[in-house]
Amino acid sequence: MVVSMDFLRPASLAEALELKAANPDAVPIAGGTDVMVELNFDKRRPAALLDLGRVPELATWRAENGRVRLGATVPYTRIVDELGDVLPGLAMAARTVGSPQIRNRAGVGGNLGSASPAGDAHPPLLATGADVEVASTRGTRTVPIGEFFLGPKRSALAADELVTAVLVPVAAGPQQFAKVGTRNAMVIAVCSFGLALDTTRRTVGTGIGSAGPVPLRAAAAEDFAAEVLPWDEPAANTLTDDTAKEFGELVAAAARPIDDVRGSAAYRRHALAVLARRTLRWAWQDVSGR
Amino acid sequence: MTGLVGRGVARVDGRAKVTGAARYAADHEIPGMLHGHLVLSTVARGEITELDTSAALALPGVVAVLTHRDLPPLRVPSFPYLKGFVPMQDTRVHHSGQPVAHVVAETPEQAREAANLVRVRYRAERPTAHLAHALDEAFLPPLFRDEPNEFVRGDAGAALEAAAVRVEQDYSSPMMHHNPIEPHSSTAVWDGNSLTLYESAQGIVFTRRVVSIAFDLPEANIRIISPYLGGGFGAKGPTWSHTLLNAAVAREVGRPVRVTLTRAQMYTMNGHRAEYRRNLRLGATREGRLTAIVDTSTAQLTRTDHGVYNTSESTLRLYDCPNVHVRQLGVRLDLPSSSYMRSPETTAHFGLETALDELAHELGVDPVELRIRNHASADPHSGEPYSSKHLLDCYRIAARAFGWARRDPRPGSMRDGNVRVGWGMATETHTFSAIQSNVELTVDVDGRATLRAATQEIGTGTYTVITQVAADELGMPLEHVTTLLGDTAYPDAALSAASATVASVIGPVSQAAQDARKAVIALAVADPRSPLHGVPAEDVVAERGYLFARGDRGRRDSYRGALARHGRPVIVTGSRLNSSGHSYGAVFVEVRFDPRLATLRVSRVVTAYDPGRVLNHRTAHGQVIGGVTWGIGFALMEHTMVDPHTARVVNPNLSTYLVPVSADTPSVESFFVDRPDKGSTALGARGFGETPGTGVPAAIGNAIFHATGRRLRDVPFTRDKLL
Repeated sequence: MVVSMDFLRPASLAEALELKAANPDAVPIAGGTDVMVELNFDKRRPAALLDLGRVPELATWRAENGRVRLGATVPYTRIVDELGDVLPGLAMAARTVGSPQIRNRAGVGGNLGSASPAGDAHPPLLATGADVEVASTRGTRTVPIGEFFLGPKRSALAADELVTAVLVPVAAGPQQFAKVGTRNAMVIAVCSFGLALDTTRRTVGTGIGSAGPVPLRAAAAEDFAAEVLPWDEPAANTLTDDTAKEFGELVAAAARPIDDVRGSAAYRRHALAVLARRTLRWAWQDVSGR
Repeated sequence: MTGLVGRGVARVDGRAKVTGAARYAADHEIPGMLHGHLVLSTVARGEITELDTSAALALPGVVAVLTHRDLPPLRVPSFPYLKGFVPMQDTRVHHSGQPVAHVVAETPEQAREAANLVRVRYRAERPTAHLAHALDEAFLPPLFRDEPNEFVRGDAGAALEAAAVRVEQDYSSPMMHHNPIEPHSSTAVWDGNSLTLYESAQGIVFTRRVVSIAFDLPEANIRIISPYLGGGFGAKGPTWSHTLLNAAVAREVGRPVRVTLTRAQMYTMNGHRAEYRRNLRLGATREGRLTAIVDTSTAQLTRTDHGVYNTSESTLRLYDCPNVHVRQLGVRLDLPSSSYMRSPETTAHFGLETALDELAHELGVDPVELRIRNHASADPHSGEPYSSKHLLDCYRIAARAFGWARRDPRPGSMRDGNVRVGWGMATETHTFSAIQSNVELTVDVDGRATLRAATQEIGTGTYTVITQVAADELGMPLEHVTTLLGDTAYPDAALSAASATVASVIGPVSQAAQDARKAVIALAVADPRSPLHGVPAEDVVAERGYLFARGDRGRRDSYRGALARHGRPVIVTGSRLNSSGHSYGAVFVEVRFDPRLATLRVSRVVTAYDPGRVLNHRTAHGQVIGGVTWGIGFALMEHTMVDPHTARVVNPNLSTYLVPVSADTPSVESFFVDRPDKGSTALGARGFGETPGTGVPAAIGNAIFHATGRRLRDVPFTRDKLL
């Protein structure tokens, strides 16, 4: 039999949640960054697609209590244009997602829902300690980003839940994002790294992409950098080569990469060390420049 | 003549394309049409032992599932049908992805779903998929298209022995695929014994010939329609089996049928650039004069054909070397037929231009200077003088614009912080063909002109350039001339391949437009009602649609006036031969290499060309952008991967077969010498499209050597090779 696919088009969040509860197999779609690839390659034939493109509640952002509540479908283009000052790390990552056409449609919710280890938004969300807001007809809950990813393409989302927003702390210091790909755009990351410095609380956040079964934090690297960074004398030359090197090695050690078509595990570890070193230098330069 | 020729006018078909008004092959709506979907073999070598179509036939909407058991015999056509067999004629499987069944249904979705339900069992044999696994079976293939695969000039062996300096190296390039963005589509409409095909074809006249042979039909009974192409790059030059099978199926089911290949099917159904190995030996004097070149290439062939599509043309003819030995060997593998793919000579040229850079480094001679010292001022193989050649100007112009004089030749010497900067260059060259072409030009009673020719618009600007030349010769505004292409109902004209279109078609267009202008002027001066009555015809000039007496512009008629009085259209034809040849140029490339991440960027590209007269600077620059981008893909990314055990393509899609995106491509500067080639009947223009890009892979590799001191000889130069 020709398999037909329902295309569900809720016009409100309440309707979307009801449809998801009634059709737990329905695959939510916003930008289609991951979903369309799977459909096109016939890897997946869901019984229904749940189009979130017409749900207004998901497409807005607002500042609240020192955080930005970023709706799941606010497209990357708007994150770049509107949130570069308050969420600089996420905005940098947003610039590297897909192509302009994809950035016009796709948002953070899809990245989280797919829970691919390579999702570009994940490292900055990990580095900033964001919370994921998920909802169902049963209610709304928030999941700390570090507990959201359970395995490759597996997340803490229940079958009837949708990602509605992420709650991202407003930057309290310089942030950076860097990514290596097999070409310069329109490609899945070989590995990526997000970094967030909090110059008030003197803490360091990290996020590793595409180098493990889930996006990872490098806790040892964070603790090390928070401890040894010369917060009292933030001049560019106060970040020593040894500190940067050690930081890079700790980040590489936190990764759990595999060999695949995009790169070897060894290359990923090596490249992560380089990206971590570089982003720390760039960020520290920004600290000293303030 | 109104100065239109050469001007970078915008595409005359641009609006139709961006608004969707342009009808591509799969856009033509045919009443009662069915949709076909091919079932392709999943083994690479063996026999079909069982074919069960019952589940597919049971699906709603499915009209028929045809296999080798149902199709009538089709004759295997000659060139440009490149396969040695027609599929679905027997049980034999020659490669993975060969058609074994054709499903026809009311909708494309039903056909595709049913295709998934066709059950095929095989007796599979072990295939050989890689050159490396059969190099000991290399042989010199017999003549292909009347051309040998071995060329000898002088005594290269002895000259190499005696050479003061020698370079010997191996180079390789993988299988690559064209990937035009428009997939192949063919719609067959039978009316009794006559067949109309709506086709994505780079050569409708050739397609007609192939179909005529396969079906044993007179050419007059066949009409091929292909007004627009979404790219071709050679993939749509030959006629492929889906066209023949679909036409046969449409005849069997008695209704029009359309088949459109999927992206994945385009990796086994329509040719590819073959995998190559190449051994190059150069001999030279201490001053850098080449004394010997021995070029032995080994190409991937199939067990059913032996076409070598990537000839070592530049080894044979680019440089003034007295002793040359070229051998183009092949190895038979269990893969689909290879074919022509944009700038086929790039494959050999990459080796030659890399080897020259190695020789320049060895001798301590600047790479540009080495090429100047070996410049050929007459064809080194035939001894014939060139009708025009300004390659030395190209080196000079591009080198100056690039700033080559500031290059420190020591590898690794140029840095920008942690980034290593490398500058490399290469000569660019490609042959172009000239194909007998004819056009028909009608000046209608409204004074407007329509030009018809059975060539096609592959996306390069053919409509535009033809319209420009015709309007210029007629003395009409551009918008008074309409060009109609892509229909075999029009006069036979050139293939859109082998860089042949401009060289072949522009002469006839120009001639027809001149003749039409003269015919209308003759009408005017002979007509007592015309203000030009009695003026000598040679004293009448045409501009912007008006006809003036030279020296007395008050005496004015117009095409519109003259034709209205005449009361019927003026119809003329044009037909003119041109000769084939070469276009030349130079490309200079800057790369920026991050040694810690092994990432590479092409950051600057400067080019200069001698394509004879430039007919449209905008479309010519477009060809350069396209060619350079292809060169970047060839050098850094493109690579069709074939599983060694199953001989199946494992990356048949655009998310794993990487091509450059905008972010990988710097802006490209192009300069043109722009002097007419007096040997060309196309207003002094030569074929040019495939010249840009030919030198880019070598120029990038040479720049990588300059940046890093590491010499890479195997494309693509992926990160694992740069680490």
